Amino acid sequence: MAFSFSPNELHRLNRLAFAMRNRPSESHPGERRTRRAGGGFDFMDYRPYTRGDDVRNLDWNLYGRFRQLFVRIHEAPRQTSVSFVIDASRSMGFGEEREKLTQGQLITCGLGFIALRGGDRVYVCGVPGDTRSLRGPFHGIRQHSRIVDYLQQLSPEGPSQLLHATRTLAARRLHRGLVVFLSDFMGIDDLDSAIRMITSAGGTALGIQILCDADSGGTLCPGVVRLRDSETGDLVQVRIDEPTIAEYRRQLTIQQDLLQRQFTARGHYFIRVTTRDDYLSVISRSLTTGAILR
Amino acid sequence: MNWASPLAFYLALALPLLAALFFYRRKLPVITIPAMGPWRVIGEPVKIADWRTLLRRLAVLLLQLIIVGGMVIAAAGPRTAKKSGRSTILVIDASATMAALNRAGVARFEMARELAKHAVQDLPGDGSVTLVMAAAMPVVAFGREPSAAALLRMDEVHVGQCDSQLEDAVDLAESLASEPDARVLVISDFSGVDPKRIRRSWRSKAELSFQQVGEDVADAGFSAVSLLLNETGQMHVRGRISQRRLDGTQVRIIVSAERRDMASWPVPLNGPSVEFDQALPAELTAAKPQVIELRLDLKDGLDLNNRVWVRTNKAARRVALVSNGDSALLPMLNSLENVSVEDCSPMDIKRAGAVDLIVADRCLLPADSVGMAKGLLFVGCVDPLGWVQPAGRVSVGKPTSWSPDHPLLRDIQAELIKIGEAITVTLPAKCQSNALIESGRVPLVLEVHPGDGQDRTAVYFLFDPVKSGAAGSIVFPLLMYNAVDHLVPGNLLTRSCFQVGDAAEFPADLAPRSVIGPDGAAIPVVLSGGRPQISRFTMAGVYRCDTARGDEQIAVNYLSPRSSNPLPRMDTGVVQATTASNWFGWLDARGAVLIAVGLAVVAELLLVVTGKVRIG
Repeated sequence: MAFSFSPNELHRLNRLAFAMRNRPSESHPGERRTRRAGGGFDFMDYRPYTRGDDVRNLDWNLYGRFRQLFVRIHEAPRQTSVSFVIDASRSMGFGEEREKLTQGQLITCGLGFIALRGGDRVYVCGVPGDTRSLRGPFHGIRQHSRIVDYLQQLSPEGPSQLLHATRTLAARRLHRGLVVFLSDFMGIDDLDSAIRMITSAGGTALGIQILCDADSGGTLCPGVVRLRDSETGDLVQVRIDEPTIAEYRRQLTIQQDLLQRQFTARGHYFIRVTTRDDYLSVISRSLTTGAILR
Repeated sequence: MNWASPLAFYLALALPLLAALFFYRRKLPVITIPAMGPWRVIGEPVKIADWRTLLRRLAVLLLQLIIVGGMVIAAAGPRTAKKSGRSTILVIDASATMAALNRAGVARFEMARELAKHAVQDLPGDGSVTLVMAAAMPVVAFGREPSAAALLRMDEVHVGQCDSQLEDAVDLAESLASEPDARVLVISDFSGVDPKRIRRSWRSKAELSFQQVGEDVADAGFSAVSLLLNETGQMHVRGRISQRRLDGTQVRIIVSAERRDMASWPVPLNGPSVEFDQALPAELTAAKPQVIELRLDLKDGLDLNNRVWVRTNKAARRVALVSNGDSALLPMLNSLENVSVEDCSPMDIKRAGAVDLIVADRCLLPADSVGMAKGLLFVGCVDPLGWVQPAGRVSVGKPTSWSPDHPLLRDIQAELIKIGEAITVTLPAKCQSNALIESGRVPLVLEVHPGDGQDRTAVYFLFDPVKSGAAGSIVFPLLMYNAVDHLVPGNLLTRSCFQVGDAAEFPADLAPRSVIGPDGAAIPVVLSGGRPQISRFTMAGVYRCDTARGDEQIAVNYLSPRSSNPLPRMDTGVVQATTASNWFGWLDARGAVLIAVGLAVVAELLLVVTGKVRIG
């Protein structure tokens, strides 16, 4: 189902940018400061002149004072990669006000806007899918519409394949930048491998868990029912009553705490949103509070 | 095909209910959730049904339906279709064990009667019924009666206190079942009778079927009881307890007289039959005639000969056995009931004193000793007074003539006597003699009334039992017993007890004016051979006789040896019987079916309600 997105709302995100702790991962010139000398505008240091240096960089004032030739060194700003891995499995087709997938698409649009506006290169990968499902790089704010076009093609189907998507990113060395996972993280066993892969490459992961009421068991009526997993088709028979729901929620809390620790224990970021949340508020408040955006 | 209890088919309503519950359980609402998550831990996994699983589950349902359906059909009691004009012969066991009660207090015989009535009611209008009662002897209670009349006459038959001859009764029924489509139905508890053996011996083309009544229970009872006087004059009760399924337990025998418990002692049951011999309290003496009761303190078990009665006044018949050495007759005489034997030689016969009978075993009595007894038995010898005089010895063949009605020849086939050599005698004219057995013209057994003014009888066995080879024959001991009983008759009132089926002769001087049975009914006393007699005791208990000597009591017992084998079950067409009129019996069999069907339905319901348990 195509999601509706109004670009006019994006002005609320104009003042936001990703706060990158890591070195920029891309070799293309950009706006991310680096420790590398280059052709940027920001002054970094002096060094003695050697033959072959561009004489345009000589500082004549210092020559006047010290009678020695010094060359001004400038920073070489680079772009960084921001990759969005959007879980488009069947479990993402649930939700109340909007589907979980729709919520993920909206958040991707918002964060993609921020990344493009910050001069970063944006990649988008909808899973399940093959290597061709990785789209990008997108750079420049004008390419935001292309991101939106791609996202509108996603629909909830198939199982979650976050590890597969991470490997696809790693094949293009994109896992050294920021990797944003948008998923409900339900029934995903290989998440830890994906996070470990990003950590070892020096990248940063941001997990955005999108939940709906059905995930918390709130939509089930009392009685004996069979529950079918939307992705695997597995069936369980269970009697729904107050104690059972309470036990379910207790178990769910345990699982979510474990999930959060998987991200935060390795210095990554994790936030939890619901399908009822406004995506702009999520971006402007939750992500800002989480020190991901500034 | 018809049905004994068509109402049981209402239970078949459970079948669609079961199927509905089964499928309902399979059709629980299925809710698709985003992911299983914690539900995988909390819920019960349901495997996705492939066609093999589905088939297996359907097979489970089918199996349930077949089991429940089978039980319903069994509860309905299918019967073969009526055949027009069919002749039915019912054989009902009337032995004493059929009087045993089940837990509901219904006698096996009454259950058998109800079953027989059901069988008769199922007959077509033109069917005929013959009833054979298997008692001590098989008896045709009625023959070829129409169904309606048979039903009425069936109420007239009663259980007896006897051991039944069921196989003889079935033989009789076989001979009566001349029509090939006749049907013989044997109703019994099959206690001590194996229906397999009956079926194996069945040769008729008629249909033979069995129905069993009664339950197999642990049981014990007296199988032989007698009172004895020991040398010191103390009374001993001796007997045997037969038991079944009580091995290793202990039972207590209680002796009571005049409605008071006098003594009791435990008897360990270490085998199918255990003997006991116990001295009675001194106050129970032979001098004071009374009937004492022995009973087994047995909580469970059949109410069958676990209570017997014996009389204390046991007077012995005194017999003097005179011989020149160890006599082979001594053990024979000792085994006679109510006989005490004085073994002596011709020289010391005076030591015996007054006796009832003198038995001379191949020796010559002193002439003055003849007057000591009214009865004289000479075995291989003659009297010293010349009532008969020996003339020599002669070889003889088989007996050629005998007096079959004489009491001395009771139960004896005289032609079986094998005697090689006989003593020939001459008979003085003054003696009245009667040759009881002869071979040609040679008398072998002779009865003589000397006619000396004394009421005296002498019996002569005119052959040497050892030399002639007669002692090796089974006939000789019988001849000895009969001779003793003939010469010194047993007194009815000196026997410690009788058994059901026995006949009893009273002494002429003690002819009872009336005899009252245990049930209060008057028992007829008939004259037979000039002596008053009760032709047959039909019931166990104490009989009261009004005699010239006063009120006398006779103890009559039913003493049946119990079979140690359990009742047979279900393997030769024997069907556990119940009757519709017996509510508790109905509950025993059909109630079990009802409970089983109910449990199946409740189990399915529970599976539906809880949702946590899954079968199939």
